[in-house]
Amino acid sequence: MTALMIAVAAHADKKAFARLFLHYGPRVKTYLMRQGASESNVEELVQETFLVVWRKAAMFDGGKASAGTWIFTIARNLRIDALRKTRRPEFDPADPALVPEPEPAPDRVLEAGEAEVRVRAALAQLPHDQAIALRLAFLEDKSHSEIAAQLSLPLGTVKSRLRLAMQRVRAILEES
Amino acid sequence: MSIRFHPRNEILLAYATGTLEEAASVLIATHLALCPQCRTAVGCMEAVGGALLDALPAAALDDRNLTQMMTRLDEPASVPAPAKAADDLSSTRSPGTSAMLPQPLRGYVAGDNAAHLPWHRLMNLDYIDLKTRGRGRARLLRVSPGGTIPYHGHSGEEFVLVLAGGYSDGTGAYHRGDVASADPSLRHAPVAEPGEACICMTVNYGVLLPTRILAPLARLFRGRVH
Ligand SMILES: [Zn+2]
Repeated sequence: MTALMIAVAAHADKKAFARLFLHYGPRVKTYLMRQGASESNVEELVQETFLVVWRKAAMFDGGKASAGTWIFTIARNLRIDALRKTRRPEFDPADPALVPEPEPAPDRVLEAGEAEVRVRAALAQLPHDQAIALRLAFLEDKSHSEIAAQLSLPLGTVKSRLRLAMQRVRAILEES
Repeated sequence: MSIRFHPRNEILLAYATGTLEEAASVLIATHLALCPQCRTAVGCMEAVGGALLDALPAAALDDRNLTQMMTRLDEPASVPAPAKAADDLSSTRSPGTSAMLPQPLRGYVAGDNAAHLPWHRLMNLDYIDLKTRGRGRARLLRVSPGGTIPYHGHSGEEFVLVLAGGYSDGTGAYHRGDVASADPSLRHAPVAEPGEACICMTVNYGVLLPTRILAPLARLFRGRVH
């Protein structure tokens, strides 16, 4: 999928775009429905998402993110605009005030494809309760206290499950 | 000077999942512009979001959608008002000088140079309210070199991002890029470092509780603005 996104970024490849849409469109629809989009306008929102995917393709960096990650961030931002009617400000990578990354050691840089495989593996290995907390946080537009209420857990427990889950994913990403 | 104080992980996570309110998001995104370490952390969280999206069950999306989608690709984009372009910045200041406000904060104030913003004066500090929607109140604060904010407590959480100069309180010494998180139990009297005015972005969820005669300052933080 990331190779398809790279083709869209590099030469506005419409065939590659169509394949991305066929794979991710239905998943973005599920995501938006869970975030509270109504049946009547969810397909419009899916198309809006992919219009941004298409128009901002030149900014896609296959060395940094997978296609799924890129599409997730676009769908997330769009639903904040459209469903929550608020904004999610972001830093500007071209800002002269931006403090750049220190040069990474070459052997520490993962190919995006490799990173994707590792994130999936990490998620698959998570204890069930941590995986549930992550899914609620990322996919259901729930604050940490709303997750705590839904699972009938103390807020601190939810926070620590999320923290442990993220630590686990990072550890696997950073293994050499 | 490298950053020593970062936002808590759960705040970065709320930013990555998209549940953090606008006020705190401005502060976090501005910290990210200054902090490669937290950019990596947020990138990793977004990768989790990507993997979870990939694993979602596919909803029914009939063929009409693909046809419509492909014809829409050639629609002219409605051009959004361009964000204040990087090259609008005055060329007299080199990148990274402490007067420079990073994006997205620059977009919330009427200019890019902190020295020339429309500051309001209150006691010994200058402030500018930032317009954000939702919970939390965002402001820029400026305290003259060596100036003190009188001893106070908070009824809710507070985040402070230092943009220029520095300050200390009982919990540490903070400089450009550092984020101090104060929970309601903290009572402090921050003191700006000498030499340069201390400019911070603050986000407050509660009101400031004066411990002595601090009524005007407390008024500034009381109630809701929007
Ligand atoms: Zn940081």
